[in-house]
Amino acid sequence: MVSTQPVTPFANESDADLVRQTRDGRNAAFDLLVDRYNRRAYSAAYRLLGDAQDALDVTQDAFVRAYRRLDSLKEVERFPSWLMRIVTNHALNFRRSRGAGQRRASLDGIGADGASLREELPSASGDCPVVRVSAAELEVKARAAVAALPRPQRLALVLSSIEGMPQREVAEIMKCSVEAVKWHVFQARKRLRLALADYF
Amino acid sequence: MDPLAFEKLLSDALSEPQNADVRDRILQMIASSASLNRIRDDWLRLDLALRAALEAGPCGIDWAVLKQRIVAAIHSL
Repeated sequence: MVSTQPVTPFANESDADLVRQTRDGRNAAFDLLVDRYNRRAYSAAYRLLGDAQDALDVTQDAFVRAYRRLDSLKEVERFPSWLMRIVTNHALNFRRSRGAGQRRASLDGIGADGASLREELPSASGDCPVVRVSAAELEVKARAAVAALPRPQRLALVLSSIEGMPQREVAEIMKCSVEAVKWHVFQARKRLRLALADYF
Repeated sequence: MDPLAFEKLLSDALSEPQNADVRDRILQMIASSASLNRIRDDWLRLDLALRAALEAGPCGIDWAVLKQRIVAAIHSL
């Protein structure tokens, strides 16, 4: 249903206009919504799943679901948070159905994730190999600890504190208040501090 | 101040770094308390560690190919 025509004519349209035009049958408009939001969608999926290939699958499926359900979107100006709700719900359900910790070995050539820790910790000093080893260990432990968080805490932490989404948008996605988002993030941080206590 | 309440304030500040009011309150508190200062340092280290662990991820992605893949999936409906 999506046209392969250039999407340039829609470049200056708002998200809401693109949603309306897609509904009116100008399907190339949806291409631009994909172009605008595929990075944010993939990034959130990756951080919730921790696996590049799974995140690609979830991102693709989420956009397909969004396209199919576009008529159910009542407030068209809320397309971004509506899409992210589909992405995050699908990511969390995907993770649950596959089982925590299970990972695919192969990637399909689109790209690979950088496995190395890019920043030294504030307690790290110089080029000490021991510090680098413990930082790499911490990366693994931190990922595992985040993956083990209860679903609302993981979602609030990843979207709000890592993705940098406004808490009002996170609250919309989670269907809760902004104060509840803050509370989930706080609880997540406390749990992670305990789980990673050996590294501080 | 109750350390737990201070930790909640820190968490809010880390999630909303642009919130100057919260930041100023924290700076005032740690100025007069070594123990709150230590708690602040612990939370900052944790935040940096989490960011380093979680932000190291979706690099090397060819976004054009990802877009093509999504559009092709929709086109095939």
